Amino acid sequence: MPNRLTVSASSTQRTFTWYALYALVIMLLSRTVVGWVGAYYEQILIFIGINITLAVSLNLVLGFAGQFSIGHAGFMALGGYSSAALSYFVLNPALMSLPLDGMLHAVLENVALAIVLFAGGIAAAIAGLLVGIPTLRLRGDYLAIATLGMGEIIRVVILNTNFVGGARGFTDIPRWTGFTWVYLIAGACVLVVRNLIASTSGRALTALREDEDAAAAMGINTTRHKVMAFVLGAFFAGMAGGLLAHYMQYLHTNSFTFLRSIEIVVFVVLGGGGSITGSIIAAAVLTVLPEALRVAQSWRMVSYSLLLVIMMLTRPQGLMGGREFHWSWILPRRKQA
Amino acid sequence: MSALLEVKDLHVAYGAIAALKGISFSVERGQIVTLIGANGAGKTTLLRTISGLLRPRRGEISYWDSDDIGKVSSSCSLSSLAPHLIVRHGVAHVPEGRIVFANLSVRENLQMGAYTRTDADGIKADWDWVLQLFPRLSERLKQSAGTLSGGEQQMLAIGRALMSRPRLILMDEPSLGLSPILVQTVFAAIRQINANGATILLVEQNAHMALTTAQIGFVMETGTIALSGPCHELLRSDDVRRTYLGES
Ligand SMILES: Nc1ncnc2c1ncn2[C@@H]1O[C@H](COP(=O)(O)OP(=O)(O)OP(=O)(O)O)[C@@H](O)[C@H]1O
Ligand SMILES: [Mg+2]
Repeated sequence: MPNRLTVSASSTQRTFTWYALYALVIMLLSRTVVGWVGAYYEQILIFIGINITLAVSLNLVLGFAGQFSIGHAGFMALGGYSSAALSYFVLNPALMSLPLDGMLHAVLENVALAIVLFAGGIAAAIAGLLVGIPTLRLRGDYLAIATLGMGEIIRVVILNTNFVGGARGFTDIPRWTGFTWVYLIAGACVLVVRNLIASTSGRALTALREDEDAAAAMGINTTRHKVMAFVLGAFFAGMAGGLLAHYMQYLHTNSFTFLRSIEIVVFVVLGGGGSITGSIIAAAVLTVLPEALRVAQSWRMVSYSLLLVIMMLTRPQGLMGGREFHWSWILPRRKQA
Repeated sequence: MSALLEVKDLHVAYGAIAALKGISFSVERGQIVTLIGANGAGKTTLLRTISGLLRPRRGEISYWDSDDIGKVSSSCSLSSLAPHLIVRHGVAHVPEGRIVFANLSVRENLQMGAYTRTDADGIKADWDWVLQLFPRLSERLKQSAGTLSGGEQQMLAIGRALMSRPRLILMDEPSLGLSPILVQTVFAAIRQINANGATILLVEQNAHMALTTAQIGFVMETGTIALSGPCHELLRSDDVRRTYLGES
């Protein structure tokens, strides 16, 4: 019997329940553990969360849809700068001019952050749409070069845009982000990608990764699905950029070179293309590793690269090899009825 | 009988290389029509053009859509449609080299075949029928398609095409690389599929099997149609016997 791939109302409800629980845990953690560990470790945790968002969103494009895009840093920059411009020039001045007490101010600040993050995501998504429609017709290495070029163009354009700081960098962005927001967005990204993959559209993406012509011959609009994955990936990269901007309070185009894009590709490849769990683990491990390797001092980046080579040699299919974490790994299996 | 597909003066080229140089033929509803010809004659190119994967330089591909009881409802020109829309008109393509979605399971491959459909009852009926046609697949539903044997992959490729409930099936060398006994199995399935109502355009290297299975045959030579006629006549033609049946 063919089990249909429809997302039922109850599973949508379950998704929301899970997300609410997750949000609760994150907020609890931010009030407790995160406070205890101190600013240094909190920053590492925040970078992990941002990198998870970047890795999982790129995995949608690269791992699930099989489109070799390496311009993720460009989308991140676009999202970061546009959200920062919105908060710096509009929302923060407006917020400051209101005579508010602390509580209400804090609430409005969170609302403002939600707005600018969303705006950053949308800006990146629009760029993704404009870039995706012509370039996604290209295959393999051509697409890689086109997206790489796109990322660099975005960076250079920002570098020459004076009102967002140009070569000096964008300073004095309000600090609105913290642990909680970073992980709320990371969780949302994981959930959206996971649900998309489990849907009919997700199956279509997997099919077109396997063979584009055969997928088209099944009635799948391959261009539309590729563009959809690309735009959604860009959206979350833009959100990640916005999170970074409102945590660091400073942006410079040097943080968004193609090396940054490559780093995200490494997260995905190392974690295993097509595995969300893999992307999460790889993003976390590779964010912590350079910090842990500080003991190696000037050999730090050499040993980091060496570890990458060793990991790829020992597990070329990636950490998870396309599989996902499942509860049955740790919980005793229930007997089959 | 009425025409289901009509190809007129079709020209297709890869860059400067002309692959089809003015092909015209038609396929009547309910028939098995075969296209035979040497390597490089342009058979695959022709099927890929009909299913929209290639765009013709010139020429017309007309298709008469009909409802389930065979009443012609509309005529459309396939040469201007994207491949994913052509499937929705009831044209399925079983590609050369038994291309299955290797990392998806057999079950998922078959589900992909029904991608355009929403009629749960109809899908269920076709699912049962495909598994009855190819019982070997029903034992391997969870296996990933890439690990199937060549013959099983061919059955899966055909089964997957059937899941769209096509009115016209384009088959590109279904017997390629199969053992004699599996060739028999696949051709028996082709006859059953046709008896069940689908029209079949069959490209084959195995000219003997093709000409004894189909009613009408076309012989392609370097981008043109060199010979055509009822299969029993082609089987008797000296040209065909010498070139394609290996008789002297
Ligand atoms: N992608 C391509 N680029 C350039 N030329 C091509 C391409 N595909 C096919 N051709 C050429 O077009 C001609 C027809 O090829 P086609 O694959 O249609 O032949 P065929 O009849 O299917 O052969 P076979 O029986 O070997 O499968 C050949 O000369 C081939 O070299
Ligand atoms: Mg061929």
